Amino acid sequence: MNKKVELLAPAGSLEKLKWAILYGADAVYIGGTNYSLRANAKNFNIEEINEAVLFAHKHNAKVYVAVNIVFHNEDVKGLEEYLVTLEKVGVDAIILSDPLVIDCAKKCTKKLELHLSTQASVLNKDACLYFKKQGISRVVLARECSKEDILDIINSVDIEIECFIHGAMCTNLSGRCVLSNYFTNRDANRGGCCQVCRFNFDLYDSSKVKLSNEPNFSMAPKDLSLVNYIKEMIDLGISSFKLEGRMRSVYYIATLVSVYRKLIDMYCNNSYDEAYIKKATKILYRCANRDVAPQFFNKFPGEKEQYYSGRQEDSNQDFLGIIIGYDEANKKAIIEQRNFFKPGDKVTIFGPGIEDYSFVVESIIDEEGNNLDAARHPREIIKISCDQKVPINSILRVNFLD
Amino acid sequence: MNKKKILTKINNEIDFNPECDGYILGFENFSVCFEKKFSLSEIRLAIKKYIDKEIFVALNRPIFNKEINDYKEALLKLDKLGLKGIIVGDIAALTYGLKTNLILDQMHLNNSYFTINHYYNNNVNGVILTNDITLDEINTIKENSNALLFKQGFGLSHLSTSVRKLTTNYLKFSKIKNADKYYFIKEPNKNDYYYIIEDDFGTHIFDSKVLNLSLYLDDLNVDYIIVDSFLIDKNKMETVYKAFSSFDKKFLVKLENEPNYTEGFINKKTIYKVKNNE
Repeated sequence: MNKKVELLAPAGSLEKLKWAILYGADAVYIGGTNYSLRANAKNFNIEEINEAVLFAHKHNAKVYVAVNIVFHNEDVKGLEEYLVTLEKVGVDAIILSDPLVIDCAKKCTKKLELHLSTQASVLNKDACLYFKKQGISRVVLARECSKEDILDIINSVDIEIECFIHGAMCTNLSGRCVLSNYFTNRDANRGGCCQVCRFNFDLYDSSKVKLSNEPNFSMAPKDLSLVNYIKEMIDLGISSFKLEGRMRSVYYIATLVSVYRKLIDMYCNNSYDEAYIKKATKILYRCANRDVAPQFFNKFPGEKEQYYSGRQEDSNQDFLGIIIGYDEANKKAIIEQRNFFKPGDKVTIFGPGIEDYSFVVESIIDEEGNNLDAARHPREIIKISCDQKVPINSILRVNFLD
Repeated sequence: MNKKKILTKINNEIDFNPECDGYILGFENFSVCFEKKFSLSEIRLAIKKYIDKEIFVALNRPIFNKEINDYKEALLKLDKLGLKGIIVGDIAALTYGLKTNLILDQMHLNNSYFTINHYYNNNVNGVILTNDITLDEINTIKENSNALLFKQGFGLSHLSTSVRKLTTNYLKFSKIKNADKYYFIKEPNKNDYYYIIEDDFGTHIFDSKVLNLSLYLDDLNVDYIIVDSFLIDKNKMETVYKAFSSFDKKFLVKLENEPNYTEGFINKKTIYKVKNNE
């Protein structure tokens, strides 16, 4: 058995970071208010990064900070001070794509690990070798690598390899796309990407004759999901499994982390359960409501791995609430509500360290003890009958599996 | 006037323009966005034929792991030809100890003199600059770097490269039979037709307008200006070559008046923070 693979989760905010870690992430990656490719996300200021590190380290998790823009001359100002501060607050690694950050980090820091971002689009072992010599300890491979590529790279270069296992994908090679710059003036490689590849277009032939009456040429790939290949990926010797989605919700993060945590642990404990993989596939699909594919991992993607009328994404109300306490005397879960549900509905509670617990809601009462015919108000505190003691920070969702 | 060397990318015989200083040749299997690609023997012939010209060969794309041995072998062979430079799109090339000048072309990844100096200190002699930076940024790079700078002065700007076959997939899905060499994408209700073209490597998208920096030839502080006829009507190229190689006003004026030409980002900065969340 290889060294236990790391489960690396995205965290767009301190709240999401805490959820990711509580649900089993070994490490989280975040962006600071500058230098990260999600310039329009909330991101973390230095005080928040400090708090994130304290929380993560207390739970034996690591924090990686994305410093992964492609720098223009003017962007370099302040970088050295920023890296020094990141090291000082105890950040475990930075994720970079521009090699100037390597030079800067070597000059001003001593123990900050350097991870190469997928934005650098590394596809081969010799490019890994170049970056290893520069001081990079881990390469996040381009998502276009196949399993054969990954295996050969791992066998050829003594460097940690990180691979994406779930989430949205760029249509184009990361870093080799400036569609956003030209369509909207927003700089793709400095965090301003507006995802032009998800727009709908008309396609014309070379004589400018329209090929279809529907504006349905889109380039977007279906999301990546390697839920069916976890065993193979662990056997390849990959060091870290990365989940995409710094802009995603707490529910999304908690669901993904809990599912992949369970799959990894099952395999490492020799208790791999094929039936659970089927369940996991459905849970992950419901969570994002998008079609998924293994993309480049097991074959070259073709027409089935691409969307043609934009991304089909139906929102659902599966996320019903967060468990904020348990009334042992009355066997009731105390819940901060998120979406509508009513007595008679089938629900499931999942959370860190517990098996999924499914039951039918018998009754709902408010904080004053009044019976409710439904939970209608987001953020309202309610109680529901629940025979099993469930921990704080578990999540109540629709039971769509039974 | 600070005269730069003019290089043409060879897409067609017409691009071997005698008034230009040198030529960039695509190399079979490892080049993208060339209408013509050359074999090793054809490159040898070109070197002999155009003895007074600077010949560069471009292997200007990222390399898959399964191709890496062939890539290295190709580079080692090219290294023996006495080329003026080899243009590479993959960092792997920096690990082979090549003696020929290496020119890095990572499409959009090298936008600062700090980055370019990193590579310059690691066996790279020059860099092809992206089209998404301003004149001021380019000139600041030149002031702070000893690397040779190459800048596209004319041609369609590259916007993206995917390894997927995006148009083939769509045509298959939509059951449309068409085998054009290239297509256009257009947003509904807008009038810009962006070129989209597939090759063996994948799919590339180009700007709807032709980049024309003829007015900036004097101001651009770079070593080489590249003229690229890729996907452009070759009948128009004679004037372009005359303008760029001679800086002759009468030809430059002709280019100025073309409605489908653009200055790109030479005077326009990109933005990336659209709201302040801090």
